[in-house]
Amino acid sequence: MKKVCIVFRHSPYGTTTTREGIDFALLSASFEQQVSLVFCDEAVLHLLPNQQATLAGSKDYVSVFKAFDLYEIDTVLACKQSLETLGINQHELAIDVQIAEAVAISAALADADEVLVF
Amino acid sequence: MILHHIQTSTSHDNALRLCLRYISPGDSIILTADAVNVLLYPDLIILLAAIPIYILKDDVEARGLRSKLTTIRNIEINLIDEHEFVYQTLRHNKVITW
Repeated sequence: MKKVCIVFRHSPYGTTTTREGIDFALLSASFEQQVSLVFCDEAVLHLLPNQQATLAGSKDYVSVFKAFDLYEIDTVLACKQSLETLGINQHELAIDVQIAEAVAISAALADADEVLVF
Repeated sequence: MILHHIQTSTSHDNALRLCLRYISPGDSIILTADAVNVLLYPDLIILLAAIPIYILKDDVEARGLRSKLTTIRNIEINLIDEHEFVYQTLRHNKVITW
C-alpha cells in the first residue's frame, strides 16, 4: 500500500488534465492506495458549487468529488493562499476540505511515497 | 529530500512558482526543456539563490544559452547531463514533476 498524493493546479474545463488526475485518484483509491489530494492555484475553482461543466463542453467530473469519502479519500487539502488570491471563502465551497497553509502542503508532499501533479 | 522537476517556462506556466511555494529545505530543483529559460530572468534567479539547482546541459545548448550561464551571479548552477540526472533522481527520496 502506497501513500499517493495527487496535486491539482490547473483550472477546470480549460484542459482535461484535472479530469485525468481525478480518474487516477479514484482508481488508486479503489486499489487500496492511501490517496490524498491537494487543490492549489486555479484548481481550487473545482471546489465551487453550481458548476455546469456541459456548458463548457466538458463531462461533469466535479460532482464525483462528493464521493471522495466513499473511496476512503479522507485527506483533501485546499491551498489557503490560492483561495485568498481568488477571493474564495471556505463556506462557499461545495465539499468540506481542509484549508492548508503552504507549509502543511509541503509536509504532505514530503510524507507521501509518490506525488503526481495534474 | 525531493527533486522538483520543472519543464515549462514561467512565461506561460506557474509550475516553478508553485514549486517554490511548497519546496522544503534540503530539496533541489532540476530545470529541463523550456524551464531552462529561467536563466534569463534576474528576479527568478534571486528566488532560486538558496536552492541547489540542476540544469540539463543539452537543453541549454540546444537554445544557444550556454554563454548566458557565465553571466549569472550569486547562484550556483549545476550543468548536468542525462546520466547525472538519473543519478540525482536516485539520490533524492522522490521526484515531483510539476
